[in-house]
Amino acid sequence: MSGANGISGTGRASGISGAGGANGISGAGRANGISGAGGSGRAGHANGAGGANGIGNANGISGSGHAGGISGAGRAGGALGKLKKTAIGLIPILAFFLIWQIAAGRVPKGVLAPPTKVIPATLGAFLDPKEQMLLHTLISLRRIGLGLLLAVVAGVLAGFLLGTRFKNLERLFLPFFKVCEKINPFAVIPVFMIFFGIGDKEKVALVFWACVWPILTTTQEAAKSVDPALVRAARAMGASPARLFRTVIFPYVLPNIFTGVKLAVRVAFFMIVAAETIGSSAGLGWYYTRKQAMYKLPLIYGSILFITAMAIALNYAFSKMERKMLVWKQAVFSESPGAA
Amino acid sequence: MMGRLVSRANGALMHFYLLIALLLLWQFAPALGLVNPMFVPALSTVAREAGAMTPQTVLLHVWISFWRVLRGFSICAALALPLAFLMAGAAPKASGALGMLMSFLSQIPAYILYPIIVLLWGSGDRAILTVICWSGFWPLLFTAIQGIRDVDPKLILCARAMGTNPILLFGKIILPAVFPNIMRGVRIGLTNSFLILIGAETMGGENGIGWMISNAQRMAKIPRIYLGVILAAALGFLLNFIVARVERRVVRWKPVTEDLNI
Repeated sequence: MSGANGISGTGRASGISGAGGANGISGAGRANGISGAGGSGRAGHANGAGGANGIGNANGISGSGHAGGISGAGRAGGALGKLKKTAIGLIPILAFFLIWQIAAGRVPKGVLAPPTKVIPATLGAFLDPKEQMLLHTLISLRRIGLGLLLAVVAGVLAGFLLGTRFKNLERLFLPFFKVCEKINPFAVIPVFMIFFGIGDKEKVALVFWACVWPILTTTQEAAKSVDPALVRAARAMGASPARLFRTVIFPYVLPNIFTGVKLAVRVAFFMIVAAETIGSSAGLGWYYTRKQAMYKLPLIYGSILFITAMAIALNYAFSKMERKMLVWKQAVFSESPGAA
Repeated sequence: MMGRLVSRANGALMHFYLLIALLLLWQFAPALGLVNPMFVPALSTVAREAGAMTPQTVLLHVWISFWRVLRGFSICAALALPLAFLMAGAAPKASGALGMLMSFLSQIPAYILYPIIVLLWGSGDRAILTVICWSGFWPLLFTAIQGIRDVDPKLILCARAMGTNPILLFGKIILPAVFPNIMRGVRIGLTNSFLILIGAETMGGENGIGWMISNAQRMAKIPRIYLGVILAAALGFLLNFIVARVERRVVRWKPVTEDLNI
């Protein structure tokens, strides 16, 4: 595979052109661009063969083709560049903390805690079993996990059904789902409180609500737009419906499901913390409000920092998982047309 | 002829059948004893609540929320767009170095930032506008920078070769090329801003839809909670509609893509 950049997503690969030459067995060039803002879920698909057998599968979310090939040389070269880039990127972050430190000394007391106090206090709270910060983090994560799991099951199932089997029902259901998607989750919180109280159930229900619509719509959209040529080819080769689903439709749709899940996780984490701030007796958001009530300034800022770090970590974990999925999909793709 | 008309009407109404059915269910389920009318009041009860609050008051709350999100987002666009052009156009190296800091800052949930902003500036309109601005700012900035980077360099080279002056280059080549991306950022940013608007009003407003909902919750006026939810959904739809309209008007040269998410 030539002309592909490092996996880091930093360099921009020109793209969709598929693979160059009759080089590897895989012969699949993929451009996979995801814009940082994480908004739309448009899946462009180019299916042009270049060379022996190259399937160019452009899965561009920002509409622009970004990096994303995997190549030996590119990776080796990219690692050093990435390191350098990280180092440069860290300088402004350090500067930010430095400015914070200086500013904390100048503003009136009781407004801004300096990072030299915030970070040790947060670490202490995290490790101290009496403070239970770790426990509350786990409670929040469990709520997200449960809600997300339910949302994935329901959303993917409904998305596939609407996208493949019951295409004619799409016009009946989809507008309604879009209405639901547009309903502000903050407005839904009181309604869920009426039904479920303020415990785990309400939080899980809220996460489910926030997650299920993006997952459902992305799945449905992708399932609907599976390349008919692929489906016809598989059918012509005598694939049973189950096999067709397993080997053609599902691998095709999987990256899009993952895009939906990634979007959902972002909103879910945001909403769970917010919901716990509004009304709860456990969880990270509640921990934060309690520190606010106690006016423990270093821990107020510490909680914010920690919650932000958690959000970044979650995003990162899901991006990593997505990349794993993509590699897996590529393997499937390269193996099946190669065998044919 | 008649048959065709009916089928056409059917096609147009298709979008609404499920919604209408659910609204009917909402209306009749409490009376039929399917749900507890204490917790799920009938649609007519919710409408009566709106009448009791007087429609003027209800509309005033909607207007306040609408005006807030509009103001907050305008400030945010006025900050983010010039900055994006500055960073991506004039100082691409610097914007690359700042990337990590920006993505760190963008991950701070605006909602938990609200108490801090109140601490610094006091509660009230200004704090709400600040969080609206904050949550809309990052997606708009990121998509705009992405859009500027993605302008085809060949276009710029061509225009330069033909002797275009910088102002014309900006107005005729770069701006039209960037606009679809900017509009996408506007859509995401505005959705984020609207999300946080209701949250911020719940926390520290004195009026607006979010305040209406949280106030109803405190006073245990359940029909009013549902009224607030309906109004919030309606306002969300209105904002979406306005953005889609503007987009269609502005981005004439390129077919508008339908966004799926958020």
